[in-house]
Amino acid sequence: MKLRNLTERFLENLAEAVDSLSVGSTPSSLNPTIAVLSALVLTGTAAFSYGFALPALILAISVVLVLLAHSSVRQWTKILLFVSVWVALVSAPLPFITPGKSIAVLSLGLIELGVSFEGLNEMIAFISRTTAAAAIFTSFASAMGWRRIVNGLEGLRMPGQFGLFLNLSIIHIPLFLRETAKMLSARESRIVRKIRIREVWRVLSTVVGDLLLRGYERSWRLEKAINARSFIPLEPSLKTPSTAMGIKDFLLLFISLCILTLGVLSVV
Amino acid sequence: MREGSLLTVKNIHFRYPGNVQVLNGASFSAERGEVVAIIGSNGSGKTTLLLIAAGLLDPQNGLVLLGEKPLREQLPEARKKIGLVFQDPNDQLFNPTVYDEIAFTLRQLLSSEEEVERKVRQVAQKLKLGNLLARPPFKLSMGEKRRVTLASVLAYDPDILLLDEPTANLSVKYVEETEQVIMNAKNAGKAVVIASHDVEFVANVSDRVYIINEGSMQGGSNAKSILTDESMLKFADMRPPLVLQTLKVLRLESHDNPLTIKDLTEASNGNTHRKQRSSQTQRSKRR
Repeated sequence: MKLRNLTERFLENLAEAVDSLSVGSTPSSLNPTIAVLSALVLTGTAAFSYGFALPALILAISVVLVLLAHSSVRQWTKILLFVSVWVALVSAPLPFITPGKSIAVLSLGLIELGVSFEGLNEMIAFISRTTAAAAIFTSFASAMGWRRIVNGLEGLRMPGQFGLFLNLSIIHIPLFLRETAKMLSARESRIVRKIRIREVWRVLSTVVGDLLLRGYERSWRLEKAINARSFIPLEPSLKTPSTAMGIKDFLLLFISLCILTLGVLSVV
Repeated sequence: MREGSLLTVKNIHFRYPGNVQVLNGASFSAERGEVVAIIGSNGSGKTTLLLIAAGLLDPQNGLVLLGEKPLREQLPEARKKIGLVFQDPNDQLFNPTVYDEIAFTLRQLLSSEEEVERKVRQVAQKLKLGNLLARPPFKLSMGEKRRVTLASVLAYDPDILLLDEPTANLSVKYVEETEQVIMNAKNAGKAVVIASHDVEFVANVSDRVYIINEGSMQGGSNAKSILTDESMLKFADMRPPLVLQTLKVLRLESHDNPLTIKDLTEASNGNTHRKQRSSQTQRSKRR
């Protein structure tokens, strides 16, 4: 596979993922404020939990949420696998550096590395915590979409400017990723003879500078566009109609608080 | 400069940071119910002039009057009276859905979401956007994006419309739709200012034309007199409308100086009628 195709495919897939996350899977009937509050509570509980029971429970809840919301299970699983592999790499030294009962010894030439039971336990607990936290947050994100998450954060009294910035980021990240792919193609189309990979990279790396300039240009125009339609001296807000609380919201909040209580009790 | 204009831009001098001088004493005015075009080649300062006319940039010298008072003193409320449509819709669209894009200004002006929704649907229907309201604007075609930018401005019913290159990257169908929107705005008593290098489009819609080149402006009289004046058009590296060029190449003289196909059709129909009438007169004389 050619490098260019791989890069372009990566950029396009990333843009597609951000796009799909910004809209969400189905029009959710959940109150965004309650859903975001629950997402934060459950993510926090998963991230700071001890042992395996709570992460496993939260992982199960996220699976149920993904299935109920008819989100793309494949995409969600891809994200989880990516997170798990990444965390496994980061936590790989733990079994070797944590003191404790040695269960195996790895011989690497002159060096011998001892694998401790406590370290292995730490590593697995870390992976499960992180995966569960990522799983629950992405399940909410894929069900609600970033846009409703921003609405929820606004409902939690987040400053209006922050909401606007988040919304703009959600819209502009895919645009810039696609623009980058186009710029790479435009540059590569002008490499008309066979040159060394180092030279190719030198040409392609100029995209970074161009992206910065384009980013500045676009943000300058965007500021003008927002100002042109802002009639009041206050910062513009992207308010949307509020959704009333229903039985589903109460149930979700109740489950989240129960899990938080379980988490706190397990620590105490 | 005309007295009592709705928008008056007087002797504007503007330079960007880095000492890039863009405007050197540019002036124009626009009245209710007229379409004013500012034509010039790329980089002549049209966009900057529109940004200044909308109160989004401060000139180093010169004045923008909205009615009788300086625009700067009336901001930001005065923006309700001015609608600016950017050249590139991607610069203007920043809301997650088409609905939110149109509703952005209405939410600042109207008190209830029901009113906002009613108005959004009304404008969307007018601009054939009814089935696109839930879509993200960035996923639309260029023509659709352009319609969304127009809808987002027309929604709050401004007195002045400033359109920057309204036909750029548009197919014929969308150009015709844009023409219709401009004529409707004109008939509704709005002042429409178009910055463009599309002479054919300007010939179709404008009442008065200014020519801009390297930040200086000329003209300001009726479209026909400007667009048929080759020396004036040369000032801005522009060419007369295609119909005029064709007549010149074919060495066909027309006293009416038609700028558009419509003008040409009318002129040729007029000639046919005149010929018929004169031949009838000759026949009756012979009898």
